[in-house]
Amino acid sequence: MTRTVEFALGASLAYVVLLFAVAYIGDRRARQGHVGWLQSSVVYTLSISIYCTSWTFYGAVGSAVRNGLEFATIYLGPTLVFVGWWLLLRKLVRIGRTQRITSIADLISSRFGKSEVLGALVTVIAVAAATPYIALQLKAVTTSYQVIAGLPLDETDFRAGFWLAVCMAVFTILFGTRNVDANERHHGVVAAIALEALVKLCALVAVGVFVVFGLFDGPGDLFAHAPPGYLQTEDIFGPRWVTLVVLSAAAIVCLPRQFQVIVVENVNERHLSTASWLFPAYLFVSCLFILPIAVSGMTVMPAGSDPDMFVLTIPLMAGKEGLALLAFLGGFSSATSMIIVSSIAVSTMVSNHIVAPLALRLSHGRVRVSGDVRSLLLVTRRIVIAAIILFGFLYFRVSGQSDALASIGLIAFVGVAQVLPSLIGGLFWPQANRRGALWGLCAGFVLWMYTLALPSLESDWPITARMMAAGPFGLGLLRPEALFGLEGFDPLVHATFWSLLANVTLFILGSLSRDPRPLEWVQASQFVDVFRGGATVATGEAARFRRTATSEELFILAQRILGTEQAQEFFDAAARRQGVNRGLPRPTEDLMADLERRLAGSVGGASARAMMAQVVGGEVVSIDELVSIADETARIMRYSQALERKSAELETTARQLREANERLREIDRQKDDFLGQVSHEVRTPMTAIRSFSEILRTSNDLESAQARRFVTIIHEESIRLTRLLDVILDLRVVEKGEIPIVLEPVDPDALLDVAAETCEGLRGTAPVRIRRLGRAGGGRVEADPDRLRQVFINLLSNAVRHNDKDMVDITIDSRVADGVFEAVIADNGPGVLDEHRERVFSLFSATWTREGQKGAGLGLAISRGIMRRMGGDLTLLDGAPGQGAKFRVTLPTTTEDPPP
Amino acid sequence: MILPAFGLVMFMPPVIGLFVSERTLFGVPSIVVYVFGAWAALIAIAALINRRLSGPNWSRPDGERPP
Repeated sequence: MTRTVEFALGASLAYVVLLFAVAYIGDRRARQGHVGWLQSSVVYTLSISIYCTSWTFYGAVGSAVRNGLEFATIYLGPTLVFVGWWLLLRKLVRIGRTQRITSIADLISSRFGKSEVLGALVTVIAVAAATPYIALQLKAVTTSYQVIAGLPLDETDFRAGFWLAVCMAVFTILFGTRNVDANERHHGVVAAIALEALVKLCALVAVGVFVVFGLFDGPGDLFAHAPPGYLQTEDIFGPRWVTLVVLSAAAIVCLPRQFQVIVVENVNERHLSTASWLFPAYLFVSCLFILPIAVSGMTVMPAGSDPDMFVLTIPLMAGKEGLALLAFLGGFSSATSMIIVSSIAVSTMVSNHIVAPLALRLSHGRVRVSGDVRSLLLVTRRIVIAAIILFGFLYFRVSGQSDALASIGLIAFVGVAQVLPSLIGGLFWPQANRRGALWGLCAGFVLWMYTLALPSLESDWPITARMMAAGPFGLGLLRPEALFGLEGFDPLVHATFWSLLANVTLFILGSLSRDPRPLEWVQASQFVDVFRGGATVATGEAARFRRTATSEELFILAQRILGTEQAQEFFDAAARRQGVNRGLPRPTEDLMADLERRLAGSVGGASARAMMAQVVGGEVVSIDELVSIADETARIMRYSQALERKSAELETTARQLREANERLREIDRQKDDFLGQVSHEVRTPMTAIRSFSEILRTSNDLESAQARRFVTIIHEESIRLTRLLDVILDLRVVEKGEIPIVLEPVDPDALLDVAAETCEGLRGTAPVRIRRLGRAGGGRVEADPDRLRQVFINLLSNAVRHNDKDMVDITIDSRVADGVFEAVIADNGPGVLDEHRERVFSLFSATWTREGQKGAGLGLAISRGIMRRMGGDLTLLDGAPGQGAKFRVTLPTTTEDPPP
Repeated sequence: MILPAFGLVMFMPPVIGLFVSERTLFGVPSIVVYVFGAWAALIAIAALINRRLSGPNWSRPDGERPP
């Protein structure tokens, strides 16, 4: 053993110890409640970067050497997904939090009616994809260890890989399975992988900077040394480029470990918005130096050296052993963090979706002990972690010498991408159901195995070689890499195309082939509408299941899964919420729904449901209830807006109708009043005329003086009658706007004076005093003098007639302002009551005049009509009640002189 | 919302194929400058949007523990 070997071993051992320490401290701090930096968005982003495995760290350079810029696709896909986080990731995280999702298998199974079969299927796909991937990490670490230790590469030294596997298994079991609630955060693990993310980034950047500025003279010089034609080909931007971008975009969501860190370990949705740019930035920085390292490797290194190890061999070649060690640790970090999180995620899936349902079936009828399920799950998870890592190691051991491992990363991507159609469809298409998901997943999985995974084993398995060349049973049409005669494509593109095409088609056909089951409907509405009050739907839904159980049974169930302590806590909290002071809470539907969600956080949605079903007995969702769920969620959403609009319209119309009706009633009442008034007015003179004419007709012995008096009365009464009819006629004329009005410039003050003089003589019982205050001072208006005088006289006579004081006091104030003549006539009478303000100007405003019985109540209406015809107006000014009425006459002034 | 669609167009053929040429910028091939430039621009825009979003009108989801 050389000094380097010892040093490398020592360094990696020290590094592992550091990881344990960080994880331990992180875990302890979290337990004590000091979560602080552990829950920052930066740590969250760094933990997402387990996306960059040793495949990125070493393999990207190799890929860049072989295919130029193609390596970037693996990082462009996730970049696009993250900058568009608002569309997909946000919904995923929200659902993960509200439904206590534990893994991607749990998500799919919960969405499609808490199906156990689907959960198991996704788990199988995940295991099939993850195991070779873990083998790839072990291989990378082993190879890099051999490189840095200076051992020959012809012989693979499996010891390093084995001990690494053991270390990782111990670490993961220690820190990854502390709590059965998989939905709780693994703070220790997150802290450790965040540290590892920093180490690998620093290592890559350090090597990159060294290459660009140490070995070469800046980027220009570096690219000048690139082989001719490198990066100058357009060929890579073809179907393979597109496929890789799509696959990597799918992988960032569907890989079990990515789902684990993005959705399950997320504590705060806001972190996602930070990660939306920080994670792409991390990828960007990681990739920045890949090309320079590749170019320099091609230039500096001897021909035939492994391009996958350039990150390590270039510093070694340049004699920078410290840098090489850093690079080694970087690769080590990226491998270990991937192994840790992958095995946690996969173990959760296996224990929740394969072991738990089996155990449930087997243990039917046995004695149930507190915490038995809990310990079963924990033990299973530990075993599965060890088993997965061991399988990875065995896989590596078996196929270690072949080059098949190199393409494992992409093969795994295609495998997990099979989950994508069900995932997207499940989140956005309410109609998607279990049958569609099952069909699609099965077809995609089978085709993936057949077209991609099988050919990758070509060299190890003699049968496959024959099948590859001629097809199974000699059927050329079914050759794995040219299915149905589709030739000339890259195997990866070919496999992706066929598997995803079959997957999506069957998913859609299967979903359309039958209506969703009741439970599927419920789950679909909760998933698809998670942002539109998913929580309220959830509580509404709980009430629709008919479930009965006693609190004791529920408590026993909770104890079995959560453990005594936590179950006690949960039930105490529930009891407090219900206001029950002592003992167990009432077994309400809310409690059961809560408990089921809580259990789902430990064992997954499907198993939680099955366990609840064992305790609470049959639960039925009737078709009627289902219809009402669909009604409430879908239909109300769609039509509520339309309804709101309609009802607003109706309200407006109703109000308008009410107002119109009110007006009509008022007018009707006025008409009745008026008719009564008019008939009274007409009847009085008519009675007089009739009685006097009867006297004249029947008595022959009347004195002529008396007869003359009677005839005079008849005459006067008929004149009064005529006048009344004239006024009514006049009114109709005004109404139709037919009063003949001749406009000429007049002096309004002069007309006011004349009117005032006329009214001085109008004194009745009380003396009248008319005072002039202001004067317009020679202003001229355009008016018909006779009509204007009539208006003034009407106003003044009203003031005199409708006065109850001993001394009638009238003031006239006139002025010209802003080109408008204005005259205000005020009296000291009783004024106009508020409720009559509007009516005094209406036609037949009998009420106002009835008391005095001095007219038909037409004066003001006619006066206003006249004023408006002349371009002016007549208004009643505001005044305190009892302070007298104030009328204002306005007319526009003119500059023309009055006619001589 | 429009950002991923925009990015998709930028990084997909045929648009990306336009930048394959002999020309260089400070000695770096134009395609490399384009890919990394567009990438950086995408990140910068996302960061700006994030800053605007995380203003006062961000509504906290329920049940969130304070950081």
